Amino acid sequence: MAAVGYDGALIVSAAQSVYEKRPSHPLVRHIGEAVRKALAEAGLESHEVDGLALSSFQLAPDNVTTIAEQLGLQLTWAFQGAFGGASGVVGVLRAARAIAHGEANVVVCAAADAFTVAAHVALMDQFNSGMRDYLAPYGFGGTNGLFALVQQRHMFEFGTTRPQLGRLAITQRQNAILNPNALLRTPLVLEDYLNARLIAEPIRLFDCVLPCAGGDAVVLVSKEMAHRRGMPGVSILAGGERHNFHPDEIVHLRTGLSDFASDMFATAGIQRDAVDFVELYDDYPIMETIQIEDLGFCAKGQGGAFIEATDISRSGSLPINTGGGQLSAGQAGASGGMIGIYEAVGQLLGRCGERQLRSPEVGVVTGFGMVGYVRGLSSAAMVLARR
Amino acid sequence: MTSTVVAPVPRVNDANRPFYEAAAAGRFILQRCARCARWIYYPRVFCPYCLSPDLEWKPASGRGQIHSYAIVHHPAHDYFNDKVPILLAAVRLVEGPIMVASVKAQIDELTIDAPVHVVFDLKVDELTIPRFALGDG
Repeated sequence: MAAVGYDGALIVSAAQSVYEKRPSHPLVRHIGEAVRKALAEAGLESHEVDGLALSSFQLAPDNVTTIAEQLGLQLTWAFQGAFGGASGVVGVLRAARAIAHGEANVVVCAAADAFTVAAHVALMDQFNSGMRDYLAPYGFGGTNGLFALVQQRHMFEFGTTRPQLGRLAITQRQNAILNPNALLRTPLVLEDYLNARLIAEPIRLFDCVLPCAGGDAVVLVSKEMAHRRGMPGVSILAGGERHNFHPDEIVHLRTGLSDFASDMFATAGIQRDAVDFVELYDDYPIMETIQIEDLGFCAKGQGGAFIEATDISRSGSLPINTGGGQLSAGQAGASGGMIGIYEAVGQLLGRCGERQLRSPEVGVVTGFGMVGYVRGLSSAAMVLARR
Repeated sequence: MTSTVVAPVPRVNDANRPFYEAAAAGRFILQRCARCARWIYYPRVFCPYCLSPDLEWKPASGRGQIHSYAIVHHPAHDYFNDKVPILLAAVRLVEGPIMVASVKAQIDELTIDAPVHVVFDLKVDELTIPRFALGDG
């Protein structure tokens, strides 16, 4: 069953710190910069904040409470995500429910990390006990090796092709070119994608994200406050989260989304063909493809064919990852789970500049992550609307 | 410049010690739940199917088929920089669980559904870590 009860809150702003290929600032600067910008966009002062949801892989020894101390936020509600790339969506859903229940009135949901490629690689071997003890000793290649297993099996079972997957990487790059905060903004053509450096076959370079430094934040307020202050906002129509579903599917060809997507759209009162755009968690094109299937835009196994037959560009029938996604903007660790929310809120509020879609009304955002023993354990999604 | 990069080593604990001790003696064992009789990989303290703490180590076939595979050119750890490409496979063991490990094979020999068997040639920091080779063994 899809969780309900988001009616009392609106998302009123979204912002990012300046993304960097090599971190030149400490993590807290990325968190604080994203939070400050998001509050400023909403016309709010920091003393009005009473809720904070935070996710970051590199936060230790700090945590949501000590970051509240550093930023001077006095909280009646706090949340720290432990769901990898699903933490962003989960945090927003829980923040909205907290506001609906009167536990907080102004919640900032933020994510940030300051990775170098080397630091990201080092994280993989120590990510959790399943990975450290039973995968790292083989030289498994980090998540690239694991998602290569997924892609290989999806190609074998369903006939998915690399040119199909390449359409995601190429189209997202076109979107990133119009996104001033994206790190990869040179055009990418199919030949580049197909012949890129081998990473973990069948995965090549442009199937992988660029680990980087950055932060993303959105602000949620009570509907009552938004009306009183005249703030335009985005509604959460429905959403859900799943953790550790399908435990025997070690090389997973579906995510937890498959378990609740139908209920989510039913709760939202939205048919799939009324969705104006989708912001998919794009750690790899194969996982975007699997999520398209799980969301019900096509049957299981038909994701590759769907991408091939559908115009997924910004002017197409189903634009995907309209700001370039993690594949082209960069993956600032846990911010990878917020970047789709940032983009969707910006699109629905009409604040996306050159890459703005024409009057979108409904968008879907997904999150996916916390890879344990081979599998990504956490999935989350929500339907957002300009209402 | 010389560097000594230490290999990533599993943490040996009560849950997995029998697995490595058996491997050192050339035997492949898996946990089986005494309550629900399901086979389990990777080693656990509690059965992930029924939460029973009564897990028994049982001799296992060490045979399976390749469910999927990858050819890792870019290792996540510097220790493997001179050991690439690493052939990584998800092996569906005869007993049921999927185990991901490296495989001794030539790249062009890897195919989905190919039979594999466990071998004990991978030693890291005095631990023997089971992996696979192509064929029925």
